[in-house]
Amino acid sequence: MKIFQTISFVLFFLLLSGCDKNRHIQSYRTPKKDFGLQLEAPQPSSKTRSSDVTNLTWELPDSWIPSTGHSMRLASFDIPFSDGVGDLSIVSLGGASGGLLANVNRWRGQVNLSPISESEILNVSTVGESKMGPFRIFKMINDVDTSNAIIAAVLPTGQKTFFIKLTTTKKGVIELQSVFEKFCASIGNSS
Amino acid sequence: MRYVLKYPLFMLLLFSSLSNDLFAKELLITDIPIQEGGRIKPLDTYARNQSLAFYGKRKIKHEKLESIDWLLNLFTHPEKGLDQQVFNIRNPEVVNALELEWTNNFHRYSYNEIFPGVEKQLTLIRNIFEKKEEDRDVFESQMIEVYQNVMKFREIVSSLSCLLPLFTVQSPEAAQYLHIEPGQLTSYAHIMSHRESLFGISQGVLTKPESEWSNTEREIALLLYNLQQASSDEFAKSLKIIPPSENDSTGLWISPWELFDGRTIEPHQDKIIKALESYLVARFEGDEKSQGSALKAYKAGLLSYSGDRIDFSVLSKERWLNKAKLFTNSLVFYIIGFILLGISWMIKPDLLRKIAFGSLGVGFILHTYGIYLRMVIMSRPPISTLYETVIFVGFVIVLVSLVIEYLRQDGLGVFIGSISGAMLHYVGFGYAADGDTLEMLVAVLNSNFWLATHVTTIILGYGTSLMAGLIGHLYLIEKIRVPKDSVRLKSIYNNMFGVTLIALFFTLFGTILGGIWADQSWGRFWGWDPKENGALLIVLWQLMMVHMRLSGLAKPDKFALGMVLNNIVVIMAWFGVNLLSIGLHSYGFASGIAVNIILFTVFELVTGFGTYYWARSRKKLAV
Amino acid sequence: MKRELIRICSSPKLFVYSLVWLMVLVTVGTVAQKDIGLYASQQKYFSSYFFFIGPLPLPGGRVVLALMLINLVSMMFKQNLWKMKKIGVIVVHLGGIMLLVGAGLTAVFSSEGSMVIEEGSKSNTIDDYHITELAIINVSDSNYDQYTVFGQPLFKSGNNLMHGDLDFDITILDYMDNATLEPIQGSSSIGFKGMLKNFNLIEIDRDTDDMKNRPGIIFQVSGTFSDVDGVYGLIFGQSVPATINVNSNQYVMALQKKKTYLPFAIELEDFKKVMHPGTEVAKSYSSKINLVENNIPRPVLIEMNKPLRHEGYTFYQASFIESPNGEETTVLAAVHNYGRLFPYISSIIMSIGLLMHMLVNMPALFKKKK
Repeated sequence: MKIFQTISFVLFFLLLSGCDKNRHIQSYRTPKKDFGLQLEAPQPSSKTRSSDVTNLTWELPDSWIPSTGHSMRLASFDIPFSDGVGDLSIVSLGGASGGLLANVNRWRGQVNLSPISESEILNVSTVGESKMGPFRIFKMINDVDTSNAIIAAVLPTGQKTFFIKLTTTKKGVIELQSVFEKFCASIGNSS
Repeated sequence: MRYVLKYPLFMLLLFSSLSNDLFAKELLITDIPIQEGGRIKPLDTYARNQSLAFYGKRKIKHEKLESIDWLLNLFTHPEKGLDQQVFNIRNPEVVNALELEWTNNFHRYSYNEIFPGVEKQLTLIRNIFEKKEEDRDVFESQMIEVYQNVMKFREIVSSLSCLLPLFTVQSPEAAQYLHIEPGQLTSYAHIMSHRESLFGISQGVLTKPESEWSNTEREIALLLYNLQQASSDEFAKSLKIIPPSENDSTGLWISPWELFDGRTIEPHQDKIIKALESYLVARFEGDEKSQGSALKAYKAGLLSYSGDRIDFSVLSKERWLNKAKLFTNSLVFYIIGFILLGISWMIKPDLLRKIAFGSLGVGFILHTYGIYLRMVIMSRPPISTLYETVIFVGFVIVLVSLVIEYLRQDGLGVFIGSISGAMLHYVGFGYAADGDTLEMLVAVLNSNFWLATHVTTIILGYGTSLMAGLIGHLYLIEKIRVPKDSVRLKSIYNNMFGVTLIALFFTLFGTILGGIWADQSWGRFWGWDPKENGALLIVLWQLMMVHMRLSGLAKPDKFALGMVLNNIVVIMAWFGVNLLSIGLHSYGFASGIAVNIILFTVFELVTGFGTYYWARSRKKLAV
Repeated sequence: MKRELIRICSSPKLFVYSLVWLMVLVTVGTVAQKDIGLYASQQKYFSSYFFFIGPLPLPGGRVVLALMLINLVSMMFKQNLWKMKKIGVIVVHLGGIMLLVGAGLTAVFSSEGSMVIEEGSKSNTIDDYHITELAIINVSDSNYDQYTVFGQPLFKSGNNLMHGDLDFDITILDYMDNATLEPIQGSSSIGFKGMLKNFNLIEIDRDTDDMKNRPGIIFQVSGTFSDVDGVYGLIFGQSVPATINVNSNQYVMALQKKKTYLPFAIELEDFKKVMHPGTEVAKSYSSKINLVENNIPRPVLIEMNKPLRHEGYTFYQASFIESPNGEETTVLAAVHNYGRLFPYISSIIMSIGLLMHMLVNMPALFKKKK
């Protein structure tokens, strides 16, 4: 009886610990999967920077308060909404500024979203019309972490491209979307 | 016995006077449906929740104003509302940051006083929002709260400006196109309903240069400008009082300003908007009769909505529940019962004990009715949120106490019931002060079978465990008082042990049912998470006490002490585990709970060990 | 001797001491979750045999529960237990034994993972929630990919990993539970290849939410006798795959969550979610799927509280991912649990036992003394 007990003890213990190392090595075959090995070479970013700053005009909503932002910004605003304060920046970059795709994917990376391809860009953006020409609006919302979201407009104007970017939460993007679109539509050129 | 009968009659009379409106067929302004937090509730609840959030109470006490009246005044006289001192700010750091004056006995500020300070601090506020909630300190959390309240207030005040009579034109031609008399005041909504005519007469303004405008056209231009300015209020979307169009599958209700974003206004929506506009005008002019007819029209509008049926009786029940303060009154009767019991130990023991029993019973009826109404309003078992468990445990304990009192007729039942009932009501009020207690559940809790079985069993477990602990206290006190009365002590001990076994049964099975529910819902019977661990601790502790007693390792007095300490385990499992996720250092209600838990624990430790050792020393002397 | 052993093993003191220690574990393990998160606390206090406080080894959950099981089983061998009056007690304790045995089986034999399926796509793999593996994939053939996979228990510094299918050897240098990439200032060290030429892979504090942790691994490739030999680094979820070419074979190297391949596939036709109106609180989710086995599909609806059970696996609707263009991806929890039925059987047995005992003994306790 005692021996039986001892043996079952030991077996039980061995069962639990397991001492077969090869258990952890496997080898098998699967059907072909695309690992994305044929990637585009990253676009070289444009090094030219225009020296003149265009005088932009816009219709500023009452509740938007100018704030101090990064020195590279043309303008910076704090935008209050029901559950937070959004950060709006206007930046201009010369020429193609690295390409639309690269910028959109950079923003997507900032909210932990995976990158998209050239063809998908058209599907995920909407177009608006400002006093300086058409612009494209991108909403980037991460449903897993809704504290990070961006709504941004890309406004190309011959010489420069303007990026109007509002960083906030998912709730903020939803609440502020229409006033953001109106703001972008009001952007004009005074010079 | 006569006395016991008189009370229910008295209560019935009181009730019927209160409940005259309960059965009103007319739609009252308090009962207007609004969609918030995922459910349709009466406007009265919404008003109380807002005043609770800004002012700290469900009624504007210093002006003796009911919250619904305060809310309606905000709609009709927004400029006054902006100057009304309804924001309660008690943190001197926040007051300083907003550049307000701090006084030691007055802490209320108006929107107009607060908002400029908020605007100046937007960048700071933005930085605080970027921190995780648990990393914010007290100042930061309260800044955020003030900010959110101020933004909410701004939105509420602007919610119905589209219905206020703010616009007019003098020229007969323009007035005719807008379907008003010259000089008559009209609303944004009214003008928008005649959009095409407005567009027609605006052509001149839009095409010709300003120098060529006629007088009429100048008026139109001014009107257009004013309309444009007014439309900046369209951000105010929180008052979701309008049912959606029939083709809208989301079931999301709409706020008045949203109707003017270019969409087609459905007939039922048009009726409602027009009725509300007439109501606001009638209220502004103090015309009660017109208010009544406006509400009739409003109800007609709601009835013509063919989507999800609106249950008017549930709305009026909820409004009645808001006013009746059932749990407060129940608490009063429990306390009266305890006081009468106390007095009965000194004079007129039989009579006063019977009255105390009656008082406990009345409190119980109020308590039960409150739970019943909540169940009807939410259409689910009344044990789905932490608040509801508190109320329900109270219900269970008082029910069992009433039975014990009826059987034993010696005051033990009243003792247990009044103390437990009152304390649990008090805890419930703590939760109620935090916001609306009628909330919707997350998907995973949406299973009435498991709610009914697992949660009920656990609740019964908590309730009976606390009762056993209370009897444990009693045992030790009696052991000190009458150490030689072994008959009495044995009787109390038997009750204690019996209740403990029942408690063990419920907590064990409640815990296992919880595991089975988890296995059914997401494939994992046991995950060692805080809530599960808490329940397990109660089971293990009781298991230990029972085995120690049965094997002789613990005598009855040690067992009694063990059950007193079990109370601490129960409170930790019930409330303490929630603190782990919020963080022990977060401010406000959470830290209030933390303090109360610590106080309770210290109290039980001191009284438990204190009476235990005192009883032991008495026993030594007695022998 | 036998009687002595049974007496010690079945002693109520052993039960009480194990209970006390279990209560300590539960308390400490719960409080620790605030700092180290649920998963780490489970691993340290409950799924372990021993854990250390400083230099002191203490029994972990598995040892305590095993002791309690021994205690309960040996109680069954006590002669004086088997009386009619105690029949309820016996039955309850048998139920308890079942519960513990079930717990043991679950601890050893179960696995839990996720299946992420986009609308319109199919999957037959389960990704474990926590355990990782190093996958070396030979993608040279145009018809198939050849996987050689090394499991996480092998990631000890200095371990050599070899396999007949590989043209090279791997030596583990470091494995981190949570890591991040930092761009290198200046040039990298000689011998560092791939991603490590431009980035440093450094260890950072574990997040309390284990799902947010990104494990990293640094290993040495040797035996190719070319400039492919060197030090490589991989981080979980890296967007650009690491590849090496050896002897005209191209290999992809990845640090991934442990994959289990199922003999059937799940195809997502449509995902539906209903929120409580105007809130972020979910009312219900459901996935309309096709269960494909032997190329024969059959439609199934998986909803919250209504999982799919098939071939020993259970698939639950756990959550979802929404992309901006409206396409939805369902996230299912896939659980494989041998001990699943034990709690059910155990609770039935225990409730019968308790009822039996109460019926026999209770009336005496509540008699009113007047």
